[in-house]
Amino acid sequence: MKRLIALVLLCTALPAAAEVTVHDRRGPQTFDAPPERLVVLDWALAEQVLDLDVAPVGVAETDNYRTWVVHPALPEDVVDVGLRTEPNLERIAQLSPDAILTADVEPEEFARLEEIAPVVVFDAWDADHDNVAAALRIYRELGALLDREALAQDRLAAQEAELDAIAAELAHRFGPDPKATAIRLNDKASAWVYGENSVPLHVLRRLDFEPEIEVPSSTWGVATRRLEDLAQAETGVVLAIRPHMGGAEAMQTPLWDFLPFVANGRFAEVAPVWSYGGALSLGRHARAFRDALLALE
Amino acid sequence: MIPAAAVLIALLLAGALHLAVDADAGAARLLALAFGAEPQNFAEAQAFYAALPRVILAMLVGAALGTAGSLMQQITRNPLVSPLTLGAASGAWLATVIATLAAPALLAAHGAWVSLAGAIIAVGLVIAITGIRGLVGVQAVLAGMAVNLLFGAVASAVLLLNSPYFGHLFLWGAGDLAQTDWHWVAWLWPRLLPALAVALLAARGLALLRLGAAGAEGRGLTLWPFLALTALAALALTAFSVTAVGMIGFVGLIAPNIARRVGARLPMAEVAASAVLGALVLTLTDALAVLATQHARDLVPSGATTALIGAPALIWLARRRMAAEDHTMFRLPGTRPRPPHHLGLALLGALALAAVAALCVSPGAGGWRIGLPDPMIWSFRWPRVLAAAAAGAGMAVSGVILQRLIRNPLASPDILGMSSGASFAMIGFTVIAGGSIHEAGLGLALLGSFAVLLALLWLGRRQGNAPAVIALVGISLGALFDALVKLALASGTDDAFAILGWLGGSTYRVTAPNALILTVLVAVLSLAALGLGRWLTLLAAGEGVARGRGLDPARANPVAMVVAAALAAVVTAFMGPVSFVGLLAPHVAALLGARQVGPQLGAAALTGALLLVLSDWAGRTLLFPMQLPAGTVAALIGGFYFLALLLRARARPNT
Repeated sequence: MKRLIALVLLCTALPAAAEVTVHDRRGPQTFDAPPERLVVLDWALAEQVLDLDVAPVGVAETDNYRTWVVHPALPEDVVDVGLRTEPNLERIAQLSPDAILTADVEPEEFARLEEIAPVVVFDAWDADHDNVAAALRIYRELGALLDREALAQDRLAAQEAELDAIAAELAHRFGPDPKATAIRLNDKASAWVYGENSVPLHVLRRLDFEPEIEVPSSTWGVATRRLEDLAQAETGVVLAIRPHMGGAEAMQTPLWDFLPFVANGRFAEVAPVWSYGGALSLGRHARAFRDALLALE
Repeated sequence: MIPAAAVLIALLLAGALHLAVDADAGAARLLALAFGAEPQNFAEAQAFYAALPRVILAMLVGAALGTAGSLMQQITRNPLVSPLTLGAASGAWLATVIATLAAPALLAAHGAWVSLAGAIIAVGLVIAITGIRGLVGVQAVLAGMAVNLLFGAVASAVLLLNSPYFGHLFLWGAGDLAQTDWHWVAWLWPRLLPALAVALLAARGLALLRLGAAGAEGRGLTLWPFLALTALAALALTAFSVTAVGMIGFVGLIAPNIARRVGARLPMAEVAASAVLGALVLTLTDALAVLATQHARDLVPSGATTALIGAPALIWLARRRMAAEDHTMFRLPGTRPRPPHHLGLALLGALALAAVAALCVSPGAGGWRIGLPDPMIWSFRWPRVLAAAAAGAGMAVSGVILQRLIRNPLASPDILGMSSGASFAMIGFTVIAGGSIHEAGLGLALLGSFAVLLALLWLGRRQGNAPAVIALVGISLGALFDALVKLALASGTDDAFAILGWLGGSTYRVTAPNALILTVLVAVLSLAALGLGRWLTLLAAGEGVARGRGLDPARANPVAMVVAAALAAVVTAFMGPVSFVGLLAPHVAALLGARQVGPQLGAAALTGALLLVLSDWAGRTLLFPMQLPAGTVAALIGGFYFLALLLRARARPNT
């Protein structure tokens, strides 16, 4: 139905520049034409835009993005617009963007961004909603905004198919009711555990794995725990997302070797993926998890 | 006197309790493991590699901090000094943060020495501020808090600009004793031994020191080498503990006070009792952290429970012990006898110039640009400049009031915990309600600030408003607040960075209407302060003088403090905590010759506004497009200026 409406809209609007409508926090926002110069203040949104094959003109903390998010790669000429918590309004204004994309900002900040250019603001991360469902919705909305709805639908459909395929591949290998817990090592004695409302846990469930360490839902769905508390993962796999940074030391400790998942050879390291990312980061997580899981003996 | 055996038995019981909470392996197996049995399963490995080293480390670090605190308190004859209150711990912490970024290899190889250097520099600064003689009074603690604030500002600037790299530093900064092997135990105890040996050998010297410096030298004590060696031992104990487990406050402050309370009178007995009591306190508070960690969503760092227990304990000690008024006075030398002509005009001119620069000079894509900004950029800039000016003026006026009331020139709203009270309420809201720090409003800030005020007044009434009590309570509340911040930051998520940014005191989120509201509130409260001018003059002269002139201090004190607290709360609500301006601006005003209450209020307000406008401008432009909060920059500029001022004044004592 949506596609049909889109098609009808597309046909009626063909002669003029295509008018686009995006639904953000406030409801429908209409642009006369798809905005071309985008400033993106949130890394998950930057991912989503790049995943629609559009390069923003400005992104917050570009250097840190290249270290931590890595994929999809940020083109070299994207301008740094300052901190994610306090983006530089003057630098943004100098870029004269057609639209500013942001998430989870307070009304006051939003009002000032609105003076520079039309703002599209999403509620992306919240303890009281499903973060992944929000990411999928945001990706489709961005598809509408950038007049690439078909591309967005294709990529989401392809991702669903790929997730099914990876799930089947892993089911073949791991049998019924497999368990896996996603973590990040923090330092020698502590780790972050991904729980309810986090992207890694959502992906593991999608691949039919259940976590063994319970972490209740929160804004980011992650909790700091002591290294020894990882022993709650008694029978299943533990997947540690790289880079480990200082956390690499944990693997050198004698306690590490006694952790059940290490003793049973059920520990695997996962290639870097940004765990607070957008819709297509589900697929990136799934591929990284699959590679790590299949490498297990 | 409580017999030593009883204290040792209490320590053993505390250790057993800690193990009972932390380990599942069973007492018999635990004993076997301790005597060399190989762990057979995870529960046994956890007992041997996590629980056992953790409780031993708690005892080692507790004993080290207790000993360090006792040595510091005995050589300064001041029951309020400790690794925390003299800035030693934050110096060690800042050195490690900087080395993590700039020289990780150096840190890995020589972490203990990096951290010791930091501790020595911090305490050196405190001594430079107060002078050796000043270490006996409450101003040593206030100077220590000033150094803590300065180093804290530097550390948070470093953290803010390097955000995701520092996740683990948050936890380490909070001070956590969780272990996964025997590394830190094996690392720490041989390093503590020489310092502990010095502590034991120092007993005779400490006993002589009680006769006074001249008396001690008369009995053959070579004073300065003795003091230097003892202080070095105390700092080494502190720094090595910080390297091993991060910042754990309060143990070094409380243990010696309890030791004296339970009857340890002789120097040797006090050091030994402080060591054992320090171990006892840290073992018990860490058992609480373990218990909390097992039930909370996120790990609860040991440093948080230590501060949660330690801060009220300090207030309790203060209530009982600090009745005597602290007579040691401290003055900044070198003030002019009277203000130069047109001082007000000159400051106003400087402020106007700074405001114009802040509004019209900025970097852009093609280098620096000078000129009137277009209307949109103008609408971004003026609320920030106005808010900075108002906040600077407000904190300065609050500082003038407090310095006169407390009769101590190192008093200020940030050091006395009034900003902390407001911050406490706002961060408490985010921790409990889980919301963004930016959603907490003015009402909460006022609530927190006035709660601190009520505590100060209530305790002050019982103590006849002794300045030392007010200072101590403020410091305790500040530390309590710090514990809450540690809890909030230990999660290491992006929310932690939002809180860190807010703690810096930023004008970024001040909207145009809020800037105007802030300005009006500060103006009204400042006029109220001006109206209290005569009271402030009398109260600053002493309570006897005030009474003699018909002013009842019991009535006047609370009124003046309400104004000071309201100013701190209003500024904190709109900008976050702003440190150093309230301390520095009144001094600069006095230094320029504005010594009467009225001129000092005016000159300090203008100076505070000038400092914060310049700081905001620098924070916005120097690292463009990155931004540092105005409060952080002000603490950096103000802190270093303050230190330079004091060092220069000390180098020329008679000017």
